[in-house]
Amino acid sequence: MNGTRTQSVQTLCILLIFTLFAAASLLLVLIGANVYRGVSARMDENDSIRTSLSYVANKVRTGDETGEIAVEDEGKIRSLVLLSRYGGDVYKTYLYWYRGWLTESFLAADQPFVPGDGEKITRLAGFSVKQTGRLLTVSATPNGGKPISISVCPRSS
Amino acid sequence: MKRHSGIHSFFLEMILVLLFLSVSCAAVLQLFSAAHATARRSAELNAAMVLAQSAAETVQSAETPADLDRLFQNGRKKQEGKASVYTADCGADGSPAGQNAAYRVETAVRTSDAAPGVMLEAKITVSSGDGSSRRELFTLNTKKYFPG
Repeated sequence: MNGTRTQSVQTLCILLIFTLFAAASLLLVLIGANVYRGVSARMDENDSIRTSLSYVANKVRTGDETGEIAVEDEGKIRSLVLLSRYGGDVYKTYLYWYRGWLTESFLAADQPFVPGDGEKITRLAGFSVKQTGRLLTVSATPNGGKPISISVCPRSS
Repeated sequence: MKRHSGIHSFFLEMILVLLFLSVSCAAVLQLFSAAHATARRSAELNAAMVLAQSAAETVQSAETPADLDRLFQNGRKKQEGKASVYTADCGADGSPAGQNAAYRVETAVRTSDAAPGVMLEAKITVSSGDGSSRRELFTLNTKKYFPG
């Protein structure tokens, strides 16, 4: 009778240790998944911000000629417009936010602007451009993040 | 007796496995916490670089050295030796923030004669945290020449 009782206690202990082992393993996997999700989301957020802001800032710097950079409203869409000349023809590069994407359109100056025809650059929750004096302020909002702004001063302005 | 010894050895093995698991857990959790801290530092550095770059571009947009007072009017100004230091507490988006500001941008500006004009040198420092826990995140130097 005593032997059977001892055996039951030992079996119970083994089961308890097994349960502890399984629970610890599960907890570790859950914590790991949560941390990975957080790190991954932060990296995505960083990447989309860095890509969009650096892309626009570098576009402004490469197109930095007198009067060639402007902020224009095309219908309901506010876009940053960069003028360029190739072989005597004038072209416009539009940078704007359209349906969740930072989008770029490169068109001849006399062609109509169609927002849906642009090339998608990076996914963003929001994007805006404003001009204050000589400074152009570009704001980008990553998905699920806060907006971040960068100022660019065109040297030709 | 034989059965007893079998249970005992299994019991002992399970305890050893559990011990090994707890040591592994400790190591893995440390790795997770390091990954989390690295990701947070990377995000902070990214925001600090953007803020410093914006401050440098603001300095570049000045038409005269005196114009800086207007451009940095959102911050505080103090004199440190020959340098004017503009301090702005702001959020990650660069908008002015109060006591709970995530970042502090300090722009130390020094002007010197460079005939026939004036050379303006600015050292921009972005930091985060409060008081003694303030950490310097990013520093950027810029210069602008104003022809006389």
